[in-house]
Amino acid sequence: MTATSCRRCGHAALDADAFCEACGAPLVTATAHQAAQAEGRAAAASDIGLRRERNEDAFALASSTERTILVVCDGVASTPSAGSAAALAARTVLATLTAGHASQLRQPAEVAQLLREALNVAHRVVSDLAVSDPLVATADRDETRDGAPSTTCVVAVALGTSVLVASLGDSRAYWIPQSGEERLLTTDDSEPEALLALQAAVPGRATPLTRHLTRWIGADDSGAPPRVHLLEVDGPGVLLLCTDGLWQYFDRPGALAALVASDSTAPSSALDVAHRLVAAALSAGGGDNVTAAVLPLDPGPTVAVGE
Amino acid sequence: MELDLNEYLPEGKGAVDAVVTVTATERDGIAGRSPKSANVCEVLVIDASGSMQGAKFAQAREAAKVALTGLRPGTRFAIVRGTETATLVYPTDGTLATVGPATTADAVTALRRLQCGGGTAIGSWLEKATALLQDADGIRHVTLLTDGLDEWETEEDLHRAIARARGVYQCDCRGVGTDWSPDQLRSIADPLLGTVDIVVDPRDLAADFAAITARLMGRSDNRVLLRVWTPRGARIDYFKQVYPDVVDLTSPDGVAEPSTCDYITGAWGSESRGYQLRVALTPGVVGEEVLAARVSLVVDGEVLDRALVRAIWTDDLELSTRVSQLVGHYTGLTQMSSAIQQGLRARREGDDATAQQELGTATALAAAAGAHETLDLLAKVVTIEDAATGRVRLLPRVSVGDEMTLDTRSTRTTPVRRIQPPQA
Repeated sequence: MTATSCRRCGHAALDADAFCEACGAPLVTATAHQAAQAEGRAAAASDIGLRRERNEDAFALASSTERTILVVCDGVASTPSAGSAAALAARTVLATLTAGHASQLRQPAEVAQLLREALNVAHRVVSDLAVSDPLVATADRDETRDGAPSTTCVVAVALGTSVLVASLGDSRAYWIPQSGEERLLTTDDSEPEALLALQAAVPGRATPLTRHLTRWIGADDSGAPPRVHLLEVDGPGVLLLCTDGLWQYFDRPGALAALVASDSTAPSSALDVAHRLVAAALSAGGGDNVTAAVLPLDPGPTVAVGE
Repeated sequence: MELDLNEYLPEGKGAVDAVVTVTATERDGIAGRSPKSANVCEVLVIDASGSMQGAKFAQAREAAKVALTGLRPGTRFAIVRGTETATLVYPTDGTLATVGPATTADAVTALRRLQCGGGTAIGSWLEKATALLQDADGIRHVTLLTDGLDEWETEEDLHRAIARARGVYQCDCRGVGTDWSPDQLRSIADPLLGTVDIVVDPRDLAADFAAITARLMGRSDNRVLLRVWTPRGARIDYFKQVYPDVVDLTSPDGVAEPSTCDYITGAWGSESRGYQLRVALTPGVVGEEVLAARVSLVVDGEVLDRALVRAIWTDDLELSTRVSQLVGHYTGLTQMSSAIQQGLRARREGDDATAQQELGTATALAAAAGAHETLDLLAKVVTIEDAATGRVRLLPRVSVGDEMTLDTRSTRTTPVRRIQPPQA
């Protein structure tokens, strides 16, 4: 986190949990130009990019011996308080998934239900941002934006060799096996490419890179449950969650896998991989905020039985 | 460390309730921090008042012997005889002896010569233990056995002695027979981070002392404290241990910074403990979020883990009216504990109507929480007609032992075992 002062009380020293150490107000993430964190075997990195004034991406990680949780959110830049929406959604999804009873769930079906629940709670809480948040009202309201504060969210829970993923919006999850091409686990909630191309052809309309989301977290979304995907990991690889600030540059098959595969002989840490992915997006143009969360997984040799 | 709460508050409400469960295992940093060869100092305090004469005293001597043999070689120890004053049984020079074949034999001989006669002044016993343990290192523990009331000193004397002992040692208190007061022993054991139990039949003392010693030998030499940070303008309404028993910890032991309070928890073995706190905040408006508290687990000065207690104001009633399973569970058990104590007090005072009502409430709460051991104890004091609704009748004749056992164990709680998926 970049040092700044609390927007509510002006206190200068900031704590590591992204809350003001004096008054407890959440610190608006717009000031976090770069952020990185390692938690257990997982890690995440985020960068403001080269064109934006604020970093309105957010991530949250949690790790225990049995489970790892990764959350990545991308505040929708056309809406006000998008950075607050993304940070609040990431914190809320993580808190819902790690609350006492929730942390005990182990069955994929139960965890899938829990993921729907977590996104539902985030939807309700972020919707309240549209009502009134005095802090947000003075901090990152922007006259040029309209609608309700909104964010995308992609979340993964890894339980041993099972990975459950849920998403709303166009932030993505990939499984990148050690050898072979990456596999997209999520489906974007956005208008089809063909329609985008049409819109791009109309003068004065959106630029070609503006995708139109059909689902998000925020007051004007339908609030219907998201799709949950189950991945059974059958070999070593890396789970990647990222915002479009990364994948828009590496949408060709094999492009992300090539970035993750290290060309050095030394094994890279999860944090190294996250930083490498973010750096690649910046080199490719850095047109948007970039966030990548990664979790290396290896089911071990016992899974190869029967080959 | 696990956190359980409903962080969503309706507009206008300014209190957050949370349960923090701390689990220490051999592998992690709390119980596994130092090897089992931790430095331990144990002082046995044996009531030798006149009323102990006979089987109680013979069994107490036997139990002390069993406790000694359970101590690891190298453990330092002393035995104190408690009457209206405290006298050193072994060693007699005011130091601690080191467990070994010779010292154990000498201590057993000293125990055999021990006589009873005199009164009861528990404060003076605690003071003697404080003097013995004050400058010792490692885990400092006292096992205190009594059979009667603290009658030979003022209440202030006892409170002063407890205050001086706090932070020096942990004290497990045992009452033998039925002439002592559970309230009084709780007032000693709670601030001294120990347990209270009843041993109705003196023949069970040896097994009980063996269990205390075994638990002591399983602890690590660590100083575990919980540090609670709250934002400016917030107040900690209460902070209590709720598992394995209810102990109010509300007065903190230290203030690291203006916004944080430290609560000492003593030495830990491989175990799980639950804590409940309530933080009072200035109510926020809908959509506002604050960090209401941060609970940090500090072991030997190092923060090992932390839990963030958030508060988020919402006008979504479904979110704000949810009750966290653990918060509901332990709130019920805390109420059960005080209903039992109030019911038994009313019963002693002849107020049967209040007694029946309170014990009925306790029965319903115990049934709801699945506290079967407490229900079994309640069933010896009342006839339970319907546990779920708390319909009970006072039994005309109740053994004093059963009544005191219920009182003593009223603070014990059960963990939540049923795991339910959250409601969609």
